[in-house]
Amino acid sequence: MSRLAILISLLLASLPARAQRVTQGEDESAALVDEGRRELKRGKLDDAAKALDQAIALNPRRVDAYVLRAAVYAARKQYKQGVELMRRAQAMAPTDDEVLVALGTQLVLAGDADVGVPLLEQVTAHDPRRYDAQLLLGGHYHDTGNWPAAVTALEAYFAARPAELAKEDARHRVDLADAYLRSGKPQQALGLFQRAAADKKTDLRARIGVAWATAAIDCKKARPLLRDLEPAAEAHPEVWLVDGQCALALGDPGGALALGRRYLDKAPHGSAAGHALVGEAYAARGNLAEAKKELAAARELEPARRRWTVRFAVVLRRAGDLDGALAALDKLGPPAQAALDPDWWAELGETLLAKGDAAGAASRLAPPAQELPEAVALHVVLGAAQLASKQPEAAVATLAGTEGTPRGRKLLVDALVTGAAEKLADNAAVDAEPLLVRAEKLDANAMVERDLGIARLAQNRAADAIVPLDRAAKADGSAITLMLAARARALAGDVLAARPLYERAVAAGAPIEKPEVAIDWAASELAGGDPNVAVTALEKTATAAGGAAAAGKLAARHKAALATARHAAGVAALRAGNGARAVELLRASAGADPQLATRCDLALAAVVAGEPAAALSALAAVGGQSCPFPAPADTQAAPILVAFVEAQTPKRAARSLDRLTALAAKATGAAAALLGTATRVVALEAGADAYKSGDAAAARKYLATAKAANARIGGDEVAANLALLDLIEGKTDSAIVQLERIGPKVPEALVTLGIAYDKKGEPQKALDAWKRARKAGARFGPLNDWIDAKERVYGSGGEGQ
Amino acid sequence: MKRALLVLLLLAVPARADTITVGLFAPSAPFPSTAARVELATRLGEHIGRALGMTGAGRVYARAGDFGGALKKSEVTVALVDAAFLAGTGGYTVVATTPPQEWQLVARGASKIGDLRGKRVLVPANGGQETDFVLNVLLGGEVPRSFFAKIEAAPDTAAALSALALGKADAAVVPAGAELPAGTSVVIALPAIAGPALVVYGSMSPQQRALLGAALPGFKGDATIAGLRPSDGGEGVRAILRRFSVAPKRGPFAVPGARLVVGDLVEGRAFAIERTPPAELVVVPK
Repeated sequence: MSRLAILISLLLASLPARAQRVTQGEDESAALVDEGRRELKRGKLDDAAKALDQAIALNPRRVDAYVLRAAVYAARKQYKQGVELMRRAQAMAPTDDEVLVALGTQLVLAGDADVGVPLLEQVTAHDPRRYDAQLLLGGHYHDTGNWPAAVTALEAYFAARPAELAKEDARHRVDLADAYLRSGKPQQALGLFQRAAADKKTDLRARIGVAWATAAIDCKKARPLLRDLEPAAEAHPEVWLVDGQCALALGDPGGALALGRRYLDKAPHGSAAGHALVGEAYAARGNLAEAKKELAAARELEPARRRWTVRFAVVLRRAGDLDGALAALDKLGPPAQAALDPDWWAELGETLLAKGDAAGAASRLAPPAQELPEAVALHVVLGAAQLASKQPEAAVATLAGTEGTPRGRKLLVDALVTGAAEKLADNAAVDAEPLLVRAEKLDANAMVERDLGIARLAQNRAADAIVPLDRAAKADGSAITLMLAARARALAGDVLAARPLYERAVAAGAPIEKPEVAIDWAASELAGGDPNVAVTALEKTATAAGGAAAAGKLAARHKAALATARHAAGVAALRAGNGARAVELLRASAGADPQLATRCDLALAAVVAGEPAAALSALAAVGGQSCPFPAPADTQAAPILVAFVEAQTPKRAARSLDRLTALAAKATGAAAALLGTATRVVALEAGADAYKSGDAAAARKYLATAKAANARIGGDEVAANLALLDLIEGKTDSAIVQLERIGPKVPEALVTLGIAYDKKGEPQKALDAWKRARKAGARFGPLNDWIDAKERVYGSGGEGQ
Repeated sequence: MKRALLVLLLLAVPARADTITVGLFAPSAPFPSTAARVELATRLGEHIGRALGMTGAGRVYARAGDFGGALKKSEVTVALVDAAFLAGTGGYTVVATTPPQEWQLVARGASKIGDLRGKRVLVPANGGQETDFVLNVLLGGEVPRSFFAKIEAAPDTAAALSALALGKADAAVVPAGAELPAGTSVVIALPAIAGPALVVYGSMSPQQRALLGAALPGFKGDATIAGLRPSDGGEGVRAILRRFSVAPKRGPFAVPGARLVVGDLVEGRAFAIERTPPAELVVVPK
C-alpha cells in the first residue's frame, strides 16, 4: 500500500462516521458527506468528489466535507487544490484539530513541510493521541533524519492507532526500528526488526534491519547475518557497507577496504558512504593521506551528511592537522540538537584536547554532555578534558557510566587517582581512600594499590595498608613501592617481615632511590627493630647518597639519618655493655653531627669501654652542659663519672671514693642514684686494690662503704667479697653458706666457693663449683688450670680419691 | 745467599783443629738403652763439631753432679739437657728445643691416685728437685706433700721403670712414650712440659752462634730425640720454673661492670628518623 493510500485510510479512520462538527443540523448535506465518505472508501474518487462538492455547496460551513474533499485531492495528488480548500476551512475553524491536521497533511504532501509540520506538531502537542498526525510527523522526521523525533512520533502512533490500522503495523514498525537504530538504540531496534521479520519472512528491509541492528550491538554476531544477505547485496549493496564497517570494527581494515570498494562499484548513488568506509579503512591501516582523500570525496558527495565531515576531521586530527580538523568541524557547525550528532561534539573535544586546550574542550562539551547522559563517547572525551584541565572531581562525575569502554574505564581510574592524590596532598586521606577503593574495583593496578596503601598509611592504619601495598609491590616491584610495603609491615609491628622487602627495595632502587629506602628502613628499625640494622642499611647506601649530590637535600637527610642511627646503635651497645662498639658508633655519629647529646653518650661509652683517658677528655668536654640524662643527672653526672673513671686507674680508687663522698651533699634524684651506684662500684674497686695488696682489713673497710652506698646494683658483689674475706680469715663454713647463696648471681663467688671446698678437702665439690663458675662466665685467669689439675688428679667424677 | 754467608763465616773461623765436647744430660729422655743414649750424644757432638769447624765429641752424663763438674771445668760448652734440670740452674742460653713431652704416673696394682697414698715413687733425676717436680710441676699441688711415702730420683727413665718392674718401687713418674714393664699401668696422664733443650754455657762468638743456629735444624737424631727445633728463648724452661712452686689459691674480688653504673642514664631513650610523608610518595597518572 502506498503512503497516500495509508493516509486516506488514516483519514477515514480518524474522521467520525458522521459529521460531528455540523452546526446547521441534519440536512441534505449530511447525506452527501456520508455518500462522499462511502465513495472515497470504495476508491470512487469522482463520485466522492461530486457528493462532497454538493455537500459544501449546500452547506459551506460543513468542515467535515472540506476535510473529506481534501482527501480526494490528496488521492489525486492535487495537493495545491487540497491546500487551498483547507485554507478556506481553516478560515472558518482556525483551531479545529481536524482542519489543522488535514491542512498540515496537504502541506506536507505538497512539499511544504516547513509550514505543514508545525501545524501537525501544534495538534500533537496538546493531543498526542492524534495518531494520524503522529504518523505523518514520524514519516517526515524519518525522511529528514531527525531520529529521536521520529522515535517519539512513531511510538505515539503505535500507542494510539485504532485496531483497524494494525494491519499496517509491520511497515511502520520497520520505520520505528530504523529510527531506533539511528538514534543509538540498537537493542530496541533489533527487537522491532526481528518482530517485523517474523511477521513477514520475505521482508528484506526487516532482515537487513536485523543484521544492521546486530552489527550495531556486536559485529561478530552480525557478520554471519550479513553473509546470509549476500544474495541480496547486489540489489542492496549497503549490506557490503555494513559488513565493511563490521570488518573495520573487528580489526580487519583489509576486509573493510575490499567491501567498501565493492560497495562503491555497485552503489554509485550511495558512494559517499562507500568512500567514507574506504577512507576509514585506510585510516585504520595508517594510510592517512588516502583516508583523507576518500573522506573528502564522501564529504563532497554529501556535504550535508555530518558524519563524513566528522570522520574527515578525525583523520585530519590523526594526521596532525589540528587546525584543519577544527576548521572542518567549525564549518559544519554544531548540530541543531546535540542528540542529532554527538560524534561532532566528541570529535570537537578530541581536537581541542589534541591542541592542548583541555579547558576549552571541557567548557564546550559540558552542555551537550549534560543533554545526552547516555552518549558514552562524548562523556569519555569530556572526562578526558576535565581530567587534563585539573578538574578530577568533575571528570569522575562525567566518566561515571563510561566504565564499559576501555578508555572510559582508564580515564575514570585516572580521575579517581588524581582526585585522591589532591586530597592526600591536602591531608584529607580519609576522603582520598573511598576514591581509591572505587578505582581499585575498576582496575587494581599497581598505581591504584600503591596510592590506596598510602592513603591508609596516612591514616595510621598500617595493617590495612599491607594488602594493597603487597599487591602493588607484586605488580611493579619498584623500589619505593617495595619500601612502602616494608614500611606498612614495620609500622604494623612486624619489622622482621619488613626486612626482606627493604632489602629488595635497596637492590631494585636507582642510585637516587637507594638512600630514600635506606632512610625509611632505618626509621623502621629505630622505631621497633635493631638500630644496628639501621646503621648497616644506611652505611651500605652511603656511596649512593654521596653520589646523589644533585639531590643535596636527600644526601643531607641520609647523613643526618646515619648520625641518628649510629647514635641509637651506640646507646644500644652501651646498654648491652659493649663499650668499645658504643664508642666506635658514637664517635662516628658525633663526627657527622656533633650534638651535645651524642657527645654526652660518647663520654658514657668511653667510661664503659674502659678508656679512661678518652672518657675523662669527653666528660670534660660536656662538663657544665645539660646532657640528655634524667635530671639532675644531666648536669651532675659528669663530675660523678669523672671520679668513677679515675677509680679505674690502679690504686686510685680510694681517692676517687673520697671525691664521690664529697659530691654526695649536692646530688639529688637520678644524680644521687648514679652517685650511690658509682660509690658502691668505686668502693669495690678500692676494696679490690686493698685485697690485691694483701690488706684484708682495708678491703673489709671499703666493703663496708660499698655496702652502705645507696645503689641498686653491686649488693651481691659486696656479699661475695665479704665471704671471700671470711674465707681468708678461716671462716670457711660461713663463707661457703654465703657463697652458695650468691653463686648463681655472681660467677666470681663460685670460684671462691671452689677454693673454700678445696680448703675443706672436698676436691669434687671444688671442681664442681669451678666448673659452674666457668659456665657462668666468671672472668678469672687461673680457673681453667685449676679445673685441669683437679680433673687430672681426681678425674671429672672424683674417682681419684 | 745463605751459601755465600756460610762461606764468609767459614773464612772468619780460624783454621784450627779444636775439639768441642757436646754433653747430654737428659735422664728423663726415654732412651731404650744406654747404648742408644751414647749413640745420640756422639751423633750430636759430631754434627755440632762439623758445624763449628771443629772435632766434635759427644759425652753422656748420668748424674747431675758429674754434669755440673764438667760445666765447672768448662769441659762442656754445648749440651742437651732436661728442661726440669735447667729450671733449677742458670748460666746457659737455650739455642734449640725438642718437642714438649707429656708425663705419666705409672704404677703396679693401682688404678687411681688414692691407691698410691703412702707409696714410694721414682722419678728420673733432675738435680735434687724431684719432689717439687712431681707434686707441684706435674700434679699442680693437688696432693699434699705427705701423700706419698717417698719420692726418689732414679738415674733415668729406663732405670725408674726397671725398678718398678722389679718391685723396688710402687710407682714411677716418667715421660709418656716409654715402654712400660709388664704388670704396670698408667694411673694418671700428667701435663706436657718442655722436653730437653740444647743450651750453650758461657760465651760463644756471634759467628759460632750463627754457624750453630744454621746447622741445628739439619740434625737427625733417633726415635727418642728425632731432631731439634728453633729456640723458644727459654720460655719452656721458665714455665716449668713457675710451676715448681704452687701459690695458695686466692679468689677473685667481684666488681660490677661499668655499664651497670651508666645504664640508668640511657634508659628510656628513644630515637627517630624522619620518613618521607606517605602523601609525598603518591603516584599520579601521567
